[in-house]
Amino acid sequence: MSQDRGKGAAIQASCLWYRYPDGRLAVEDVSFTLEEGKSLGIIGPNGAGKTTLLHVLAGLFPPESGDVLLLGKRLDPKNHSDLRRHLGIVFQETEDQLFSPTVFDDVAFGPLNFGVPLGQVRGRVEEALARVGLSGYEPRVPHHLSSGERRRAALATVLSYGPDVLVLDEPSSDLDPRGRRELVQLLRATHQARLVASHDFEFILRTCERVLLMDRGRVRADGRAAEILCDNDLLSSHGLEVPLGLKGVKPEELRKILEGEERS
Amino acid sequence: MLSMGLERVGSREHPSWAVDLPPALGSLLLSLGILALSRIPLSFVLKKLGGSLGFLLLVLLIFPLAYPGKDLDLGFLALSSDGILVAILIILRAMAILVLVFPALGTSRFDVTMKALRRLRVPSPLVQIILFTYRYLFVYADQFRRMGTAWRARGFRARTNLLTLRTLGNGIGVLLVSSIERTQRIQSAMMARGFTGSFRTFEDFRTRPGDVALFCAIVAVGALAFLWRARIL
Repeated sequence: MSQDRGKGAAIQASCLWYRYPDGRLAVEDVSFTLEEGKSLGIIGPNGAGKTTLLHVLAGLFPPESGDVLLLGKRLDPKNHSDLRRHLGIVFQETEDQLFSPTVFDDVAFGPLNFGVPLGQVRGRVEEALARVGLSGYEPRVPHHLSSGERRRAALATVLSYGPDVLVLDEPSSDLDPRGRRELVQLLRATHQARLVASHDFEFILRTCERVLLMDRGRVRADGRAAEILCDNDLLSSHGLEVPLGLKGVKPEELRKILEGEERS
Repeated sequence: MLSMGLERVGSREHPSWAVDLPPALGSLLLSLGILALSRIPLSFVLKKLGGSLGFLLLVLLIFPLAYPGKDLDLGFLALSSDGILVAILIILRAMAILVLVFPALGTSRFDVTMKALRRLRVPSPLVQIILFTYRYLFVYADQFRRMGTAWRARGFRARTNLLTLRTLGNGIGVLLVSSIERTQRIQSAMMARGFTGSFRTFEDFRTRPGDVALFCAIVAVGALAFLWRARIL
């Protein structure tokens, strides 16, 4: 898929505005570009509009104005069903993502709806579950999984149809340190472009090269992850804090640490 | 079940012990036989049937008193022998049906049973409603249990007063509202994975010779029972 194409914009958002049905403005004039194969973190205080922006980008909430280009094609209600196969969104609440009676049915749901031939569906499901470390979980009931297992199964539900862009909303919540580290490794090994909204700054640092800081629906800063996440003045002016482990660390030092981690 | 029992017996002027009892007893024995084949422990079945048995025993109390023709005079009480028979027939038939539910639902995984229903041409929306109900029943039961724990942690004790009713009402209201919001989020999750209104499923059922043999045996026993009931045999 994206490996076969030349590098271009995976997602291009231009002047996006979105208003809730009750009239409150949730996304104001948001523009950014995410290149194919690249990663972008979205941070911001509660109510900043991060989750709403992800829903607009996935074509689930229609923007009041502005455009979303997915792999160069404008997302509109007429081509939603065609373009959705290129974008895999994993929601914050795993109980909403896993709605089928078994893990197999949930992971097979995307491939079946996107027209993957029936003979390939079982293989796709097994492969996606193996990637998230849940081989053999096919007959399990989602409700009986631990929250960490549910988080990984939710990721498998989108990996199974091979989207070009991964959109993850708070992917590290509910994960223990080991599960979180495994998810970091898994995401680093993916070739897809990814958009990650999270309050977990260390997770963002390890999985995203670039960060957008949102507050009250607007993009307030856009830059390299290490620079934004070490900027105490910028973060505190938007109700955020530099994590304790990063206090006093210079962006250059942080980049070296992360590069070392990635090499090892 | 009640109406079925009355209707069957009501087709004649009086129910007959000799004519009506053997088929009802036979049905129950057949159900118990299928239950034995399914290897579901009888203790488990009896435990689950507890509530239904209590309700059926009420039938045994009411019918002898309420049925026309009080021909059994106990001195202080007059009972109807037809009412006693009708009550016994209702209990036997109801038990035969209830016992059959266990082999039907307890011998394969729930999702497999639902897929089988779909293959048997049960309307897809109905099957999906059952599946979603089954999937989210546990989620809401958990949510209600957590809510109860939070109430008790803050001193709540269920009593027969207005505060208890209001608290329970509020709790159920919160569950209803959150279920509507959850429905919208689930719909988004389905649409994001290509759902456009019709369900596609992966079913890899294979009919084995044993399945055919069992199906033929059950149909044959049913046909024999019907013919015997119709006095053809």
